[in-house]
Amino acid sequence: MKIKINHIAKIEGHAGFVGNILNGDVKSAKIEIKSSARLIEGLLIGRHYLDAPIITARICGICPVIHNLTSIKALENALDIRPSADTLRLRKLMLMGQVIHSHGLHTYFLSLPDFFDIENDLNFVQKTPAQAQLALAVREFGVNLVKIIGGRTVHPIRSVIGGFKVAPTKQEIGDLSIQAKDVLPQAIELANFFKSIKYPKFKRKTEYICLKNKNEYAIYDGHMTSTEGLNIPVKKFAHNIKEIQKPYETVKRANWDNNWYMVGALARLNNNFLQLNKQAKNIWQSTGIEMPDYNSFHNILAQAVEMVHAIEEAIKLLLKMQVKSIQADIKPYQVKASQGGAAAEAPRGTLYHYYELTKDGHISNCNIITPTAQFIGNLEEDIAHFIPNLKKLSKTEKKKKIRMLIRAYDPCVSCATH
Amino acid sequence: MSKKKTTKKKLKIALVGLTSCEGCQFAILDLGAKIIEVFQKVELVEFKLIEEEPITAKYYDLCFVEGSAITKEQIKLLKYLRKKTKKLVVLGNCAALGGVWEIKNYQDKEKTIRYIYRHYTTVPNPDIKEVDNFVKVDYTLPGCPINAEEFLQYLYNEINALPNREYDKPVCYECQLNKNECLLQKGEICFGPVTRGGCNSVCLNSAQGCMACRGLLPNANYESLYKLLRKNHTDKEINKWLEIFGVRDDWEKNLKKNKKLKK
Repeated sequence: MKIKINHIAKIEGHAGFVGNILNGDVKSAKIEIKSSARLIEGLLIGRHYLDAPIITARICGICPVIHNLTSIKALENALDIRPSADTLRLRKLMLMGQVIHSHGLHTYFLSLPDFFDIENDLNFVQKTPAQAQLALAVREFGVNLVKIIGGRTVHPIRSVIGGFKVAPTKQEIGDLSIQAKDVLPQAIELANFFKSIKYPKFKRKTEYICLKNKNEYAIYDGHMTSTEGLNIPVKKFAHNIKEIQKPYETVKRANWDNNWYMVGALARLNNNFLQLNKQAKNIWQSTGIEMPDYNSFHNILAQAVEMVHAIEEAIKLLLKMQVKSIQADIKPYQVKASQGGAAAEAPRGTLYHYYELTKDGHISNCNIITPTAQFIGNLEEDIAHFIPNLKKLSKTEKKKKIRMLIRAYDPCVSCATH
Repeated sequence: MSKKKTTKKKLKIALVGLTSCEGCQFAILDLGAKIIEVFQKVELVEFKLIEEEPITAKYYDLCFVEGSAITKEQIKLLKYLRKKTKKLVVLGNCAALGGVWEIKNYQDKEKTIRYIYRHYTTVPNPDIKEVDNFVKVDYTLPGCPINAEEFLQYLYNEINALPNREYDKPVCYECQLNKNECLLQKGEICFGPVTRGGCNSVCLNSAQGCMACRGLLPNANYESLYKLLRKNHTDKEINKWLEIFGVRDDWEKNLKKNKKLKK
């Protein structure tokens, strides 16, 4: 039997799925990437390094913040720039905003309707009006946070190499702080709702990889860690990721140590959940889920918990900014022939940017490895493992369940192809 | 009579994304409760970011297209949409002006693709063309990303059968209303004087010079801006700046025309 899904809606970008089942055995399970290549890395060659954070933000409309910041971090590493404490706070705050609005969209609007067998979000909003209100309120806070810190939600403007062009006003920080406190109970209620829904029974052991930082739940920086005991610097990890190119495919799947692996919210929780902020940790612990959690469907629950964490984190950061007012500054630096890379946690997992510059600041080499390119292989293995559970279902129902698993991963196909 | 019809029947709307970052669609979703309310007032037939139902509509009143048509399938889809829709509106810089990916038109595009796919590849690599090269476009909502409020206003006007008119003042106008410091006077690059406004000078409000993502105004004074920019910047710098949002070609064309008129 062949299972073919031409277009998987409600994900970022264009993708389909083809699976072959012979006498109950899954012979193949393939995600077909249909987004066309925009050749971002190629476009950057020969261009001035200041263009990179602007151009790479355009890789993705839902996670432009992380592309912008990872690009900035990589170039700062190349040029030996150490941004100020204020800059770091603003960046982290902006990242929290992105986690909140990206997860807010994905959990409730893109993925959750599948668990209720509803194909149109507008119907879903009518069916679950209370939760829709919660999701919209939480999301609005995330959108505002990025808008105020970055100058705009989609494709931020203020964050640049060395710092920020403009800082938020005291009034804006105060307003955000009030909003954050208002929205926290709503995010908790929403996370509890995600806790209450029924997830398919599914378990497949795999390696969960993400950043780890001894000071905090790692989003902005750290070293590499995994559920299989990985503990190495980002540079070493990124250097040894194998990117696999196939003639017909626009995405280069990333492979570590000859294995597929998983990144994203569930990976971060599996590795770092003890570092979650208090309320977020309480919710996760109250689920009683055994760690590491090998049920990929729980990725949306992990995201809902991360939204709570991110709001708690934003409250802390905003409080610090209220105590001591924040300044926009751009660290002075010298352009030189150099190379540098960096990683940060995108909503969907660890993102890498790497650049080489000529002495007059032109990009001579660059590479970007996105979360989705890293987890597609793992997703296909999960689907192959999941299909036998669907034996009793009709073909249409099978397709629905497969789509449900794919969407729970929160793939960003635009990022994957870039 | 047409007015009567629109008040009776909900407008059939399609929102379709080609190759892009989908940021314009997300800018729309970022409107949150506001956009959900408006979507209840129309018949939203196509919007793959929020629904998964099969395509069955034979007719749209309005079709919004975001992104660039790169593959043959996308060009086919575009022509198909044009046939089905009364009005076709392009959303954002990619659809209107080619987008960031148009940079490749100024490079050796074979080299550009080879840099990424080092081995043999069948990935399509055409020159990037704006949507109006393939089909007739009725209206443009420009920007990278679009100004979502402008989208909302456009849709509101269409729902209420009110006229829509493209914004025809430069970014400079809004920038001055916002009392921003002039970056041109500081010697930085800014295309505010010749770029179509309607963005509330969002970049300038964050001290970023205008990169003309909303496209150039037809009758601006290109030559005087060029002279001013040349005081501090090389032609190469100016051109590279304009390549980012696909306006270098239009700038060069307009500059030539400006000079000719003067002669």
